[in-house]
This record gives sequence, C-alpha cells and structure tokens, in this order.
Amino acid sequence: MKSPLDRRFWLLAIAIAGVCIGVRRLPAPHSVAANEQREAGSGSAVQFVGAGSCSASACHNANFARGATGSEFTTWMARDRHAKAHETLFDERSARIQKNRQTATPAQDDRRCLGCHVAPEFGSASPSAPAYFKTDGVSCESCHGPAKRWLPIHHLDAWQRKSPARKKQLGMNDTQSLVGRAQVCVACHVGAPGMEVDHDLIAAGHPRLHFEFAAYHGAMPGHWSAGKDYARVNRARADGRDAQRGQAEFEARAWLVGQLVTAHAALELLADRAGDQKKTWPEFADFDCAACHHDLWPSRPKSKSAQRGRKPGSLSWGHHVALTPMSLDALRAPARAEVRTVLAELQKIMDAGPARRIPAAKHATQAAAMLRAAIARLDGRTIRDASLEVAFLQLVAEQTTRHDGPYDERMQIHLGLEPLRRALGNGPRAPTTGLSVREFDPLTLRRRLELPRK
Amino acid sequence: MRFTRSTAMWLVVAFAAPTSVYLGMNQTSFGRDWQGGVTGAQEKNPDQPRPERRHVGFRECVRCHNSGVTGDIVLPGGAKLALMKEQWVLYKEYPIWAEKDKHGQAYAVLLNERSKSMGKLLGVAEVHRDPRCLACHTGFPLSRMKPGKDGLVHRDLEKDLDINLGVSCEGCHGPSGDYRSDKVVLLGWMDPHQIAPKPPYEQAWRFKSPREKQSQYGFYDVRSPASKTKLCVSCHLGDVELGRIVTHEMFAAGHPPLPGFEVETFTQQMPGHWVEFSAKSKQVRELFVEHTKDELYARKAYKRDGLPRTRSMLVGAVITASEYLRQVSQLADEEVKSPVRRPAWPEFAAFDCYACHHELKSPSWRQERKPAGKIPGRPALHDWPFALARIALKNAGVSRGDVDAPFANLRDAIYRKPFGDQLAASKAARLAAAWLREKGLEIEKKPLDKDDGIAILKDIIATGSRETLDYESARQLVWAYNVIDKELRSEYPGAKKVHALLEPMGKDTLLLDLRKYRKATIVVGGQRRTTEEVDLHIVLPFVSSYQPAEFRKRFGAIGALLK
Repeated sequence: MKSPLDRRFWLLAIAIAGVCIGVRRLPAPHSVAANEQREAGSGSAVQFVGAGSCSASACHNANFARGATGSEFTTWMARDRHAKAHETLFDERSARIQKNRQTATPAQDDRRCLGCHVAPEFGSASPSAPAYFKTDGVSCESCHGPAKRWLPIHHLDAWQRKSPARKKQLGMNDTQSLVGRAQVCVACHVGAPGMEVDHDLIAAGHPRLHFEFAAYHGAMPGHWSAGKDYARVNRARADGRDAQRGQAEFEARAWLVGQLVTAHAALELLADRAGDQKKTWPEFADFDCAACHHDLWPSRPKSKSAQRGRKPGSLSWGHHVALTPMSLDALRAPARAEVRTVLAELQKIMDAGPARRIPAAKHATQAAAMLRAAIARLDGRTIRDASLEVAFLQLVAEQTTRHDGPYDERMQIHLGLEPLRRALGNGPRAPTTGLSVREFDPLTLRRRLELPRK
Repeated sequence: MRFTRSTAMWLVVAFAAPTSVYLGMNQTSFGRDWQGGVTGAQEKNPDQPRPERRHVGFRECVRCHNSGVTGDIVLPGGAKLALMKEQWVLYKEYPIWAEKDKHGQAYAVLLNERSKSMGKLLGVAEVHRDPRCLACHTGFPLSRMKPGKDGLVHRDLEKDLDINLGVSCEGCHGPSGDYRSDKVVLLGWMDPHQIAPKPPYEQAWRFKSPREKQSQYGFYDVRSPASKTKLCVSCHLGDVELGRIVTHEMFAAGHPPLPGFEVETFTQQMPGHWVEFSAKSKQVRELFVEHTKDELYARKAYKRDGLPRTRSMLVGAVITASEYLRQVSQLADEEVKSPVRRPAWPEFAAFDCYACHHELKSPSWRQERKPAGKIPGRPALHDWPFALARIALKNAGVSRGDVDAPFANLRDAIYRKPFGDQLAASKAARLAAAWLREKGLEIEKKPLDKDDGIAILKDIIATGSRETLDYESARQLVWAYNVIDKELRSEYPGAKKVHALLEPMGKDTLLLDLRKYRKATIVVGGQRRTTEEVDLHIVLPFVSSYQPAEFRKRFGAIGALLK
C-alpha cells in the first residue's frame, strides 16, 4: 500500500508534468521520442539505470527458454541483434561512414549515432548515468523507457493496476498495446527529428532504413509471451476466438496498426524537414531510392498507375502513406475520410516535383495530427472479417496494378499480403511472396521483385 | 552607301571565277512573297517591344548557297573551266546541310513517337508548338512565335518551312533582315554580306571585323572558336536567358540525355559546310590576312600551321566549361529572366545525371573515387566540361593554384549541403564562368605549334591513365586526342600503334557517332520526311557498361607508346 506521502508526491509530479506539457506544447510537429522525453522528464534529466539493473537472475535473467517469462534479459542478450547495436559502431563500416562524413569523432562516441544505437533519450541522459550503459546497445530502457523512477516499483502488484498513461508519466513506455509497441520502434526505424538516417548518412555507407512493423516484429526474437499478445487480440473481438486464430489475427492487426504508426512517424519527419528552412529540401531519404538510382535506360512505357499523376522526374514519395487509407478503413478508424483527403493533397504536392516545402510542411503537419488523433482512439477496436477481406483484396489489386510502381511501395504491399491472408483463414487466396524480413535488403530484393530488363 | 541586291550579287559573282554560272541563275524564280507570313505580320505588332532583326528565311540563302557545284564546267569543244578556285565560299552550303546535317531534322523530331509520348507525360498537347521545345528545335527566333492562351504557338507555324526545317541558316548565323521602325533602324547582314572583296576593300564584307559584323549587322561570329562554341552550347547545354533549358522533367519524360559537347568533334559530325581557313587557296588566304580586321587572323597572330582545330578544341573546352557554369548560375539565380517558364531550384538538370542515375551496387568504381564535394551523396556537377578545360588551361600556362582558386569557392558553395547554398552557388558559378571565359579568349589568341600539339596529346593520355574518369569525361579525352592526331596528320612517334589501341575503344563505346540512329518517317506540315533518331538502345548501355579501370589501363598503354 502507498503511504499518503507517496500519493501526494506522485500527484505533484503529475501536476508538474502536466504543466510542463501544457507550456511546452509546440506548434511545430514533434516526435514520439521527443514527446516521451518531455512527458517522462518533468524538466529533469532522463535517468537510466542500465540493463545490468534488470538482469538479476530472480528478475529477467532466469535463463529459461527463449521468450519465457523471467528470461527476458537472457533472450535479448543471446539472440536479439538490438544488443549489438552499439558494438556495430566499432566495425569497419562504421569507421568508413565517419570518414566519409568527414568527422573525427568515432562512431561509438558520436551523439548522432547513439540516439538509435543506444537510446533515443541518450543525448539528454543525466551525466551521472553509468558509462557502461552505452555498451548495452539498444537494451531494456531504450524501448521500455528510462527506469530510474519505475525500477523500484514496477514489480509490485500495484504497478500492474496502473494505466499505461500513468506508467508513462513515470518513464515507462507502453509496449503492451500494438500502437505503443510500434511507436517505440518507429522512432529509430523510420526516424524522428534529430534521429535521422538522411541521404548524407546513407551515401556515407549507412544502410537505408526500411521498415514494416509486423515483419520486423515477427523477426525479432521476442522476450515476451506471444500467447498474451494473441489473447489480447481475442479479448478485443466481439465474438471471441480460439487461440489459433488469435495468432493470425494478431499479425494482421500488427500489420495494419504498423502501417498507421509508421505513416505517422514518416509524416512528422517530413513535416519537420519541410518546415525547417535550415534542413535539406528535398531530403532524398524521404523518397524511393530506385527513383533515381537506376542506370539510364531507354524509357520503358510506364503504366498509368505507376505514373499516377506524378510529374515526370519528380521523386517517388509516399511508400509509408500509400496504404494508410486502406489500413484506416480496415481498422474502421475514426475520421478516416478526412485523413484520406489531406493525404491525397499532400501526395499531389510531393508529386508536383520539385515539391514546395511550405505547403508540404503544412499538409504533412495536418495529416500527422489527424493520424495521431485516429491512432489514439484505435486500440481495442474490433476488426471484422469483412473489412479484413476488403483490405486483402485491395492489396491484391494494388499488387497487380502497381507492379511497376516504386520499389518501396511494392515492398509494403508484398509484406501485407501474407498476414492478411493468414488472418482470413479460408478466405480468398493470393500468390504468397515467400519473402521474409531477412531479405529486406534493397540490393537483393530489387532484383527479385523486378522483371528482368530487356 | 547602300547596295542593292543585284549590285551585290553582281559583285560577288564578278569576283568568283568563273562568273557565267551565276549569271545564268534565275533570280526571279525566288519571289519575296514568302516573306509576308508570320515574320512580317509580327514585326508590325506593337506588342513587340524589342527591336530584332527580321528572320529572312532559307529561301533567300539558297539563291547563292545551293549551287552544289562539284566539278569543272566543260566548255563547247571540250575545254574545262575550273570552278571555285577561290574556295572562300563553297556555295553548296545548303545541300550539305540539307542532306547531311541533323540540324535540319531538329523540328521534325518534335513530331515523332518519342516526342508524342513526352507530350503525354508532360501534359503538353503538342510539343512541336511548345516554346520551351521550339527554343532549340528551330532556328526561328522565339520572340517571333508568341504563344496563345494555352501556352502553345499557333498551329499554322508547323507549315512554315523556316520553322519546320529546324535549325537552318539564320539559326546559327543570325537573323539577316533589317529592322525598321519609326525610331530605330537596325540593318541586317543579308545585303552587306554580298559585298565582294574588291579593291579598295573598304566595304568588303569579308574583311570586316567579326565584332562589326555582329554589332552593326547582327551576323553571329562563327569563326572565332569561343564565339562559335558559345553559340553551339546555347542549345547543346542550354541558356536560361534564351529560353533554352532542358529540364529534368523533360529528361524524365523521355528527352534523350544531352551528350558531353566538344566543338571540333561535333562540328565534324555535322558535317561542316565550309572550307577550313587553312585549306583555302593561298591567294585567298593571303589577301584575307592582308586586309582583315579580324584580330585572330591579322598578319602577326595568324600561322597557317598553328593547329587551328586543336586550338579551337582547347578554346571550345574552356568556353564550354564557362557556359556550363553560367547555366548553373542562371538556374540557381531566380532573378535571371527567361522567355519561357523557368524551373525552380534545385533543378536536377544542372547536375551530373550519373551522379544519381546508376544502379546501387557495392563495390563500385564510383565509391572508390574521391567524392566531388568531399562528402559523398551530394548531387555533383558534371565532370566532363572540366576534363579538357583543365588540360587547356595547363597548356596555356595557368598554374594549378590559379585554376583551383575560382573553383574552391564554387565547390564549397555547391557541396556545402545537398544542391548547394543556392545564392552562394549562383554567385560562385557566375564568377568561375567569367574567369574561364576570360582565359578562353586568351587561349584563342595564341597559335600553337607542333610541339604544343604533341605535349597536349601526352597530357591527355597522362590524365586518362591517372584519373578515374566517368564515361563522358573519358569520351572528351578520346575525342580531343583524335582532333589533335588528325591535325598532326599522325606525324609523331608511335602514332600507328596508338591508333591500334584507340580505335576499338572508339568503336565500342566512346566515339560520338550521330549515325547510330534508326530511320523514321514523320509527316511535317503535310510533307513526309525521313529522320534519323538517336537510338538510345545502342547509346545508353555504353554508359552503364563503361569501366573506368579498363579505360585507364588502355590509356596507360598508350602513354607507354608515346614515351
């Protein structure tokens, strides 16, 4: 039980946090990461405790089977590549990247790298944070939030009864809901202002970011109970479902939610890049690599759908939002017609090439805000088979008509087909792609997806 | 004193031996009725603010320049009368142009399949009526083809031969008619250029200085390599102020890539419709050098064996580089006015196509090169305009430090961030262009000798065997080598062996060959015409398959032969 003193303390903290959020609400779009930081920080430095604090054998380091409760640390340590995120900064490629960027700072110490290769809040972490924290790579607190304030209490029964919002106020991110989970990923895997893999970085040798939440989620060696994930989905169903269907439906839902959260992150990033006159515009990393990076070839007749009203020579933008309207429909998200309209206008601006940055910033900001509102009201919403089927058929149609569209967009279509098909069980079937996230590499995939050139 | 046409004709004819051929020419068969049309009508248009000379049209030119005389005249009784010994003017300029020069197809291609498909993608109903296309695809002045509300010029212009014959006489030589209004009279060069060089030579057109011809009569100077190159690249690269801009949007819609330009190689491909000065008869050369006010040919400056083509190549290279930078500066400077809708910055067409347009693969020779702007991934300027310009400057004794100075600012401005710092880049490009222009004009004044030629050959080879060059730059070197080699008549040690190494390279990838075409039939203004279209299926794969290491190796082998 809490003492009255305790309660007063927390109320005060919440009040201060509330005031801070109110005062610091910026007209400019802000990132998920920045939001989290603001909400968790209450003005004081973010405080990490390090993965070592989670790894007591009685807590998360039990060394049971992969994914079992109690062996989260073990699973992450042994199997999850996030654990090597900092280590990779010591390798030859990282050294080359820094050399190309003309910077003398080694990658392992460069703040530009550490935001994603350690933790989003790394830059604002308290200077008293233990030095070895960096070497943990993307560890517990990178995703779950700085633990200084929740570490002593998160194992208590009372903690379990706290709402995700209250947990967040103490620094812990919501990773139970699909939305919360996806939001944690996109900060690095799509990017956020200040945490960007821009074209300069890519040209220096950094791999291009590709992201699709469900595929990445499936490829990550989970350190949580997948059964609970499936059960949560089943509970959300009005009609109740068996456990087997739970998995398929979880994946479908992950894909749909992932689409929206990813789109939101991409829009916020675009709004920031377009709105900040100091930033590069256009930022090539926003666009399909293959839009420019192809040998010049005698023009092949482009299908109407591939051109889709795009001005010739404009860069192909939009793979992160291309399937947003469809996903909103399938999830029966609120205000989806309005989002669709704003996105269509934004697409038009981006397709007019060279895109004008002020209207782009305006529309991207607007679309991001609307999407944010829609996402906030998403969790727990039921999905009907009928809407899944519509989404699936739409994807099949997109796959056929946009076969010569931009690579990134085709990638998103391909990756959605499989989870939706499986969720529909005996529903309509489409050719499966057989692609896994391991092949999520533009250099190999481009060849696989494309018809041979003549 | 104003010469009537017939007097002038008579004088020309009187000088050219024999005269009889021309006296028989039916002058009345070319009426002047065709001058009505668009040109005349627009001249009266009060909306036309700028005095511009009238475009007279090719019909007037062919009265003299279409004789096509190829052999001697056989007189009754079998004696032969030699023609055209003077060789100042060929008098068959028109047939050469009409039969061989692709400039004559410039308009017709606007009606081919590629152009139609471009129109569809660009949302232009008929590209052959779009001023942005006509600016280069016809020699008819853009100012005389006012577009209507739909942005397109009048449909009937398609039937006008002076427009639909593409880049014809006055496109490169300048509108030749007079301009007369209440306030201004601008004489054209049509009449004065027919004044023959007869003693005392004061009025003789031939001996007037190019500057006078240009400023007094609007006759473009195509004798000076600098001036000629500037004229050529106003289309072959572009010129914002003249409305000649191939935008990235046009390329993306299907416009063939503009190949790197080298004035002597391109001229040879036209082919030229003139006799090189050094090839003209001794008598006419001496008379010219004696009386001309052209400072490039005045007695002191002119040397017959001064490698004029090599010099033209070097001057052309520097001027091309200058013009390229001027274009970059214009594109980045929104204050620069253009008669057509100008693209916004960043205009990708200002940059090197292949900086972005290459397959992503690793390892690749591109990644082994030092990036142009220190930081990789920033759109880079074209390399090729500087490949020969550097050699030209070095040969002219400009030190490496002096060459680098104007470019240091430019590099900094262009590569400071992607697409450069717009204002700083525009300014730095403008200054570097002006500096290059000045150098080009200096180089133009100095005749070369055989040793210079061989030294430049060696420098070309050294550059090619030392540097990792992109496709277009490599091609510049091969072209330049061939220009010099030809002018030296291969009279240097090792020439034969070099040819054996160079020729296959030329054949497979690097030589400019406008004959790599496919024939097409196009209906233009109701007439069927055959055109030769660039076959991108042949040309573009060369660029993709080009291997700089291989090029370097071969140039290295050539270098060993020349030592």
